[in-house]
Amino acid sequence: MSFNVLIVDDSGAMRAVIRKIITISGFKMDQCFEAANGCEALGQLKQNWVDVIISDINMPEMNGLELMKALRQDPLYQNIPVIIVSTEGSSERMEEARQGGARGFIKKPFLPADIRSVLHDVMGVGADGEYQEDQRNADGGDF
Amino acid sequence: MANIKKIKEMLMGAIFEVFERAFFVFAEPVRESGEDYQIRATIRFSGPMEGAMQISMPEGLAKIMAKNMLDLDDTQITNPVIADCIKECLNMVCGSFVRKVDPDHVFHLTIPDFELISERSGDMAAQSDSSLRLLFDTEAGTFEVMMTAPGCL
Repeated sequence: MSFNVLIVDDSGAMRAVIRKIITISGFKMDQCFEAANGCEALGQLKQNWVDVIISDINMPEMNGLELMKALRQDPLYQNIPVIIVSTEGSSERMEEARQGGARGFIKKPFLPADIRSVLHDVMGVGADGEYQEDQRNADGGDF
Repeated sequence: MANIKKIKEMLMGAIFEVFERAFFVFAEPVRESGEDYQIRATIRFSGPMEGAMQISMPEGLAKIMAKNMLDLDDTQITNPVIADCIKECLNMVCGSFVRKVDPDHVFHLTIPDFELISERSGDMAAQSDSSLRLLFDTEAGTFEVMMTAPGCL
């Protein structure tokens, strides 16, 4: 199984870095969409199926916390896992993000291994790069 | 005085962390610089400590940082790309610094401003009792980080 990823950051450079890290990490990414803020992210979600969102917090127009609030209010989007990638890493802010629905938190500057590790944890991907749900289905199949 | 020393150590730690991890640039603290800067970015922070941070550097260093961060060739390094990378650099330095100052409480960081400069004039503030100026040498020239935090420095 491969996943569609939406990267939300007002820095095009940071989006490019995250995209490249995911590509070379071995994570099974199908399509990668980008947005420069929460509003653009909601626009991308209207047009594309997204399995996981990687979002910054501090962005103009709609920040990452506001984006998560908007996602929670929409039954179609409320179960999409969100990973926060931010310079803001205080325990108070991390707790706020967790309560807002964030499933993972990565502090900038990050190492490529940080992104890979959190992405795999959140999406249930094992050390072998296989999606654990696929593995269960394969092991437990009737035929 | 002890407080200033601690703040200086935290700021230097944040600078090393960001430059090495995100830009693969190794910085060495120096006392003086005769460098002319062409690139400058500024960010403000508020929370348990309030102030502003500014980074100034020569264009050559900014190009190398953008090149390293994005793995681009020289023809792809445009002014908007440089601006984006240097703003993100300062955002990370400031974010990393305030996390060291107070890891428990929230700081608010502004979106960084970027400017191309032709002269040394127009610095955020000359060094004073409420500012801290750090200079670093790299393979591509010297850069400067200036921080003001009235009441804390």
